[in-house]
Amino acid sequence: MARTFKEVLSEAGISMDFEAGGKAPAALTDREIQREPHERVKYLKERYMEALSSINNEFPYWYTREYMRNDLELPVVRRALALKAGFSHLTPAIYPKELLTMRKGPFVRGSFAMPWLTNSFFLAQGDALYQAAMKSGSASAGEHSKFGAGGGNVTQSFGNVVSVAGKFGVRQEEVGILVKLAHMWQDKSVEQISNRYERMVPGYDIKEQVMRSLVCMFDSGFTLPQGREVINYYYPLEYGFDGIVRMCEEKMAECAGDAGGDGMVGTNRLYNYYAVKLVIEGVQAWIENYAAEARRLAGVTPDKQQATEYAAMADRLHHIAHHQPRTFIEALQMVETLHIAVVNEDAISGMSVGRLGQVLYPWFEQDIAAGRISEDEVLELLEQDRILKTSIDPFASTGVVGGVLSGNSFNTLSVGGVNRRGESAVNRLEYLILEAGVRNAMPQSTIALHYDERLPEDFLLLAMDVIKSGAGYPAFMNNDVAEQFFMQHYACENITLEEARAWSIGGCLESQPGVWKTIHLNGKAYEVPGGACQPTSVGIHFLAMPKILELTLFNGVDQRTKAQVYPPHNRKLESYEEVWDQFKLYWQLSCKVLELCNNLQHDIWRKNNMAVFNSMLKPGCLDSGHLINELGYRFNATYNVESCGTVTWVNSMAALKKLVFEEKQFTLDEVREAMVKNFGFKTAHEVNSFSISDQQKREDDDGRFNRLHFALLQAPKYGNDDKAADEVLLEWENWFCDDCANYQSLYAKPMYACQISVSTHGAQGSATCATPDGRLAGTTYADASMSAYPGTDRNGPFALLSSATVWDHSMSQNSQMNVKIHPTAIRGPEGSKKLLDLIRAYMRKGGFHIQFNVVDTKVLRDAQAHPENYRDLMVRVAGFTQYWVEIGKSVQDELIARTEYEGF
Amino acid sequence: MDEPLKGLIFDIQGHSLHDGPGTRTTVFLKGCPLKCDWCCNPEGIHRYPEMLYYESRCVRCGHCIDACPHGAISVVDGLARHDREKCAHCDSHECVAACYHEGKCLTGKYYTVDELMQIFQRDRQFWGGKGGASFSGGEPLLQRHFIREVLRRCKEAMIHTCIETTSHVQPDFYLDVMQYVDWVFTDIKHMDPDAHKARTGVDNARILANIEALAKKEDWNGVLVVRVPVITGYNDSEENIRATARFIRGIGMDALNLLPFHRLGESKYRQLDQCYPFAEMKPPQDAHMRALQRAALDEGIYCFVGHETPF
Repeated sequence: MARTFKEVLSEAGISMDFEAGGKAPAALTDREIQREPHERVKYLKERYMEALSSINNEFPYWYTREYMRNDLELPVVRRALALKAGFSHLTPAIYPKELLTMRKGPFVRGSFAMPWLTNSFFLAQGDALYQAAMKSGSASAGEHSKFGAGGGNVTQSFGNVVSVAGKFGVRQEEVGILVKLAHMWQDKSVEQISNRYERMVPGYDIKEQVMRSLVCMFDSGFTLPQGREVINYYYPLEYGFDGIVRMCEEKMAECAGDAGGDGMVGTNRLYNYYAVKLVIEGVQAWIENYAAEARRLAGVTPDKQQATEYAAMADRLHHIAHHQPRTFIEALQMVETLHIAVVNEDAISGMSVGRLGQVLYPWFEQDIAAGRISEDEVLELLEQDRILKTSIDPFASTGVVGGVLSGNSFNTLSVGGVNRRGESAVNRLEYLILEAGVRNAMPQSTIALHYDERLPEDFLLLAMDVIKSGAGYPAFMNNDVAEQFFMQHYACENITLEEARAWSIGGCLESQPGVWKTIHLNGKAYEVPGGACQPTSVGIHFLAMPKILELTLFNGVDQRTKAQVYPPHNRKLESYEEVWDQFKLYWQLSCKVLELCNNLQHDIWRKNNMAVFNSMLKPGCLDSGHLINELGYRFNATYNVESCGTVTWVNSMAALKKLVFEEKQFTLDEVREAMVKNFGFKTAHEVNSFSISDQQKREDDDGRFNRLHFALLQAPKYGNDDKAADEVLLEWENWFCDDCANYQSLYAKPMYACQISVSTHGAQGSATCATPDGRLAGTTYADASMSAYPGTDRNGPFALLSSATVWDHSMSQNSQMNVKIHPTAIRGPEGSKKLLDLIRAYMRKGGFHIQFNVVDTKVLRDAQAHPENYRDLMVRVAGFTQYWVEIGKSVQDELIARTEYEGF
Repeated sequence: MDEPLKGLIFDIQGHSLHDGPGTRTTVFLKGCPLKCDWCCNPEGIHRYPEMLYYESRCVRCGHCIDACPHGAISVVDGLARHDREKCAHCDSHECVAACYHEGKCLTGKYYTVDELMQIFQRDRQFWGGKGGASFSGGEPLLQRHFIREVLRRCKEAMIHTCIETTSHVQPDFYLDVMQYVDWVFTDIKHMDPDAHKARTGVDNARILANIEALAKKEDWNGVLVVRVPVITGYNDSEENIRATARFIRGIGMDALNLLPFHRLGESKYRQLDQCYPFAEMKPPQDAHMRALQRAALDEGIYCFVGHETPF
């Protein structure tokens, strides 16, 4: 007898008794994930949505004034005095209804420039700024990066507001001061000092060409010298600021004049502890200024409840300015304060909060147990935390902030993973963090889920709900693969397995090692993970593989600018192996010169502009008395080589291999001519779309490239479980991941591979001519490193995920797979389980990262046409979530073109 | 050596979510004994490879006209039109090779059993606990020797199998092949024999008899779910759905899946130079589907609409 349906379902543990004769609960059949934030948060979010990105000169003015005054002081102390002045003069800005406070500047979305790092931008733009009609930046990257026209970006000047760097508004009367400050750093900024020394590097002219042709996206040492790392909140959470100051004073007494067995930098410990003490005093003054403002507001606010809230806030701020937090809300406020202090110290993107749910758990657990707070109140706070984090705007030039970051600050929060003993680290607070991510879906903090087989199933299913809400997070990261990477790469610093388990995502998907520390609260001890390494995604930034292939095929000449970027190789390129070999030589030439130049930039940074506050937070600076610049961090081997356009390159090499070298259907000259002529198409800039699907033929095209173009498009493509393409990928990965170790950071540690595209696949694609995979000139590359080129993955997601895992992802710091999935494909609880099945399978096969855009392409097209209707639409770009209206057009086009998976 | 068994397949979809329990890989076999006039997979009807013509990709270069050895292509209103009588006898498909714009593609490709098994072995890592291989069409049981061998091999490899069948299949073969099938979706287009014949080309006697025999087959313990594609004005009366439900209950089964008609197949008709007869027809109203669901529930069986299934 056939089994009845009821039998089958009951075997599977599903009760169907409600169904016969009745109606299925809505939760079973129709669950669209849409939940609202708390009223208070809704109000605050509306204020955020109205706010424009703004800068002023408060911090830079006081910093510069103090720095210049102390010109004979030791560098670290001079830096500390300047930071102290900057912090203690920041005007507090507290807004009604908020429970958590403190922000970068005195605006909802405030930021400021740091001309001591880079000032050429302002020097070059000074006149234009005065005329209040500045266009985009002068550097090449600036020309190829455009912000989304909408949202909170000030892309054009209006009224008394001048647009800076295509994103920020500044009051007209501040422009003069801004430019004057930039002039005061003439020949003194990290950028300008390091440039004087960079010129002494043999091959510096090649570096210049490499930057101008956009083979490399941007410099490392003065753009965003820190970030893509995880803050460690431990010391202030355990000892309070007063406790750390006391420690510094004791240590100063202990170290004064004592070399401590280190004849090189041993005596520096005195100055370092002194510097830490100075900066903490500045930060304490800044918090007390906020406390005073809250107290003032409490006194003048007629609304009783609001006045009470201000008074309580003042009490909390005053307390955390000195001591270990007593309650959950104080601990969370402390974390907010520390976060902003760190990002105010340096130009930073990707300063991530790490495994916050595990760090704050001691206060959560004790407050809940004592009835001091309810889960609903915790949720409300976590929702507001998302507004504060999203309000952080990093400041840099257009090319960096737009072309690389799409305006994103990457304050990634990690959940999941395992504890020190290797058990699931998930706790109740992390469930609430996910829930807050659904209720108040905003780009920050984007959430990274460290997937491990040991995590509870209901937690993973809750994560599916979050994905289905369309927020673009959480991204899934493979805990095992990350640990293996750490054990291999950080063997040079004697990492232990326990330490590897403390890892976290910093930036978008830069995994990094951490350490465990013990927090004591009311006599109970808790092990918490935290950041313990130098910034990652520093070193050699975003090398455009398809661009280097173009230069390989054209004897070192850039087809866009006609400049001779590399010395001519004069080879005939008669075999696939010869092309591959020459590509490697050009790649290594780029890496070598960028390694040396960027090391000099970071070296000037570490001598004059070293982190003091962020450094102090990281183990073991306070233990050793050495800051970041003297290898004070537990892990220092963090520099990397970043690739961009992997899949476009793989497809190009696979097409050349098959059609030109194996089957000899076409000659290399024919392919080259077709590339230069863009296969008879107009350029992407003429069409004003960077998506391959919108490109148009030239009116005078005679069709002579049609057969060739078709053959190239039909050639083997990555993402189809096709060996011909996948073997090219495998060969590349095995070579690339090994080659990185040939370059050494300024800290004398080997580099490693980093394979994320962020938004550079748009900007670098824009500067690259047509490629042998059939991609047209100026259009974006395939995004990320493991996503298929849009439309070429024709055999469905299983084939794509199989292709992606032909190589061992643990050789690299990361890999990146973005998948666009239609909302109907994952509807209902069954849809959730099936989505989890898919993710789990990819993780089991060794994939490092996967994330989803749950969106209908028709919606994106409409949003591009009518941005005014889509202020709060969020999309997953490449390792981060951003408001649709705040990303540039080339990346919008690429998102639309990505292959959309539907269930059938 | 014997020529290996080959099956003609017009699509393989990984990550298929609605063709059985869990996540699955669905194989679409070409050829069908029924001629349902609303068919949404018209490229699955004939048992030979066919050329599909994509008007939107056609750049009107005329290369295919020059390439066709049968003189089957003419131009009407600036677009290619194909004499499908002539195309039916063509197995060289020069027109497809001549097109550089993917304006012409071939549907229907021969796979050996081994090739198919290789795909399943790759995909099974992604299915999760409940998934497996599904076979649809066309009528998947039409290519008898091939499908039997594939299903047998799946069973051997411990792969969960599911078929979507018309059940208009030779009875002995039908019951025999089911020993390798874990889950059966079978259509009953209409309970009335004349109405059934009017729009599918065959009457429903063999279909109902097969379903009943399978339900009662002693040594088969698979799952049987009846599906009704709900076509407005044809089989969407409450009476017909109640009759279907009573039939299901009568043979000891308990599940009915109502699939509202959709027009997703429309573009494929144009690609096959055919006229789509239902361009104007509206999908059934949601309220009406709910009413039909209530009627079936009333008859004491489980009833699911569309993809709102608990598997």
